[in-house]
Amino acid sequence: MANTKPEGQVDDPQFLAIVALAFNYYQQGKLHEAETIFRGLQLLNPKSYYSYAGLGAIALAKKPADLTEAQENLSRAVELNPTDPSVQANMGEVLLRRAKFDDAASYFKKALELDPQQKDPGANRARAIISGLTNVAAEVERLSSTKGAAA
Amino acid sequence: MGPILPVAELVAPLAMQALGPIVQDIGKSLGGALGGLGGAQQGAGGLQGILQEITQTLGQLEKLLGGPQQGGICPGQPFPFSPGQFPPGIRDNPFSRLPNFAGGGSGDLGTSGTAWANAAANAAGGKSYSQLQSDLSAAEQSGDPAKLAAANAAIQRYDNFAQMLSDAEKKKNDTIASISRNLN
Repeated sequence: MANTKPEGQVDDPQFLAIVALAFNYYQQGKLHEAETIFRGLQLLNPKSYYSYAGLGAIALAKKPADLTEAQENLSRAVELNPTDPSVQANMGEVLLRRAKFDDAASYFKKALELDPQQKDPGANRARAIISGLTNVAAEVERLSSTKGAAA
Repeated sequence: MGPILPVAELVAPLAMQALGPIVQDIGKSLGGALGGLGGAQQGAGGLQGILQEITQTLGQLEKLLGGPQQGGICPGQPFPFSPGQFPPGIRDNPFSRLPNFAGGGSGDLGTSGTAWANAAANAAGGKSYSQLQSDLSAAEQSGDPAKLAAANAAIQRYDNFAQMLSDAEKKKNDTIASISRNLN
């Protein structure tokens, strides 16, 4: 039987349990704890995409974001598992923040295409970002025209 | 040159928690063209040009958005990976699958505590704690600052990882104890 699972996905339940632990820390905003575990997991299994995806998201969530580290980790995560919409969306966000608009659009497109049911939270975040930025642009245009007309 | 508009006036009314940092980063990447969200005055012509470029590139994706969006409602943090790529049972309750950390496998999972020690050792480059201590002694004797820093960093990685896993074990035990108390 052909194995269609991406190379970066791992089935070992104990490994996945540690990934889930890091994920839960991340969701609770405990970025330092999550980062420590993801770094350990990266060494445990360098071919698992979860740790790269996790470290990329942490770098992106930091204030200020570490865009270089985010891009390095997310590039590897995308390479190991190109089927995860959240990872594609995060990569799009990094490139958007780096003002690489065409490259960002290509990753956002992939994220949205991988999630046609609009169920994936990462892809939905990308949808909100795209929608929000186009709204900002429209608002700038509107305010600018209003001020221009009033002058 | 168009009218001068404070960027904050344009962005703030849209109340987008996640968009502020994104717009700021874009500004930094473009050399400050969009910076100064705290109310600095910006040339609207430059700002509009950049926003038009964003609209042109991202606007192509509108057909994939799938209907009207809740403008600006955007989770504050990115999601590390898709929940669909992860077994839900493990994600929601990792403790049921975590091996025991210390004490030689006395728990209900039947997993030896060496699994944790091995995990921590792998985090430190595949060496046991005693090997790491030997490395540290050798580095101290060599007087080479680079070797000393590397040996210290490896022990730190081991300690951090072991501590995290130990904390997880404690959390699991606390959860089980709490459930037991509620049942009694």
